[in-house]
Amino acid sequence: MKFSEQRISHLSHLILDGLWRDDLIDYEDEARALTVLKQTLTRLVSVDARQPRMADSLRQVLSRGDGEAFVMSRLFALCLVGALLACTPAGKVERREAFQPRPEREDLYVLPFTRVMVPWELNETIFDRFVDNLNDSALPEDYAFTILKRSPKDIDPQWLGEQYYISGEIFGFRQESGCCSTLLQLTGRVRFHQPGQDQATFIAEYPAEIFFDHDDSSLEIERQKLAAEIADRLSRQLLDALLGT
Amino acid sequence: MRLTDKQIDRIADSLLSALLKEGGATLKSQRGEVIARIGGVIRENLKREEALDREARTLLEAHLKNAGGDVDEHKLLVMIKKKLAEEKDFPL
Repeated sequence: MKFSEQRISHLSHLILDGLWRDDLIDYEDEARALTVLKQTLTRLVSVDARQPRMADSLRQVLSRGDGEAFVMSRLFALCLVGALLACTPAGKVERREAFQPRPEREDLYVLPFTRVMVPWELNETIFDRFVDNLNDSALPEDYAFTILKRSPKDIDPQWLGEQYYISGEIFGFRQESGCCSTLLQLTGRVRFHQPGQDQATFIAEYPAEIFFDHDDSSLEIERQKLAAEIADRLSRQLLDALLGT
Repeated sequence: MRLTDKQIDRIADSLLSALLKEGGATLKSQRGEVIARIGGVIRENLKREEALDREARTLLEAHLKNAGGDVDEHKLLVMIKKKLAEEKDFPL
């Protein structure tokens, strides 16, 4: 969320009045000072104050004309930061002893994912993409992932207990926006259930996060990217487990 | 919006420079003192927003406990926050 025009105006007034009241500054022309404050604040909050961009840092290094060793050391530091920023959360995969890869049956059912404090469109994207990934997978063609379009409570538990099925949850949504950038976090978890087992025999969990500049992208695009990342990761992990790879 | 102390100081410093250079203002005190005062105003404003966030989340949780249902919690949170901001006369 960027500062609104009203907020910038409000803050500018607070600063102007505060400095004058505390006798810290004199204004030749109060209206002019206020305009400058508003303009400067607008400029500052539309440039990311939190994350100096790597390209800018690089430009600064190169424009200094310092020695090669210094430039190389700065480049190394920048690359290191880049690598650290590129690290994705590891996630968790748990295979219980009873887990059996390569299910013998053709039909594998997928229950709609539950969501906890997560915008519905994110859940929808994750679920649809997850199921598409499974169906487009490298599994033998005779496997079919069928969506059970009913809430779990409407499904006969005895029947369900005799099936291979997948359930999932989407949770831990966090969206923290500043003037110029946003951090998005979301976690997905899938469980694979086998006939005759009380508990899931395979669980994969993946917490994903995205940080982006408002100048570079939009919330809608990045939310979809986050959803796709979770769907791709979870479907890959489940497929790897099912294929025994 | 979360900013570190260093970032707030940087913004405060830039605002003062602009005031002195283009706004026709003159210092009546130490530059550091003025920057600290500007930074204080920004910090206070951000703290108010954080408090508003917390209050909005508390209200949202209470609403979800009572009403439940399939709602878009994020949209609801934004709406509650906007409403609270209006009531408290705090521009977001």
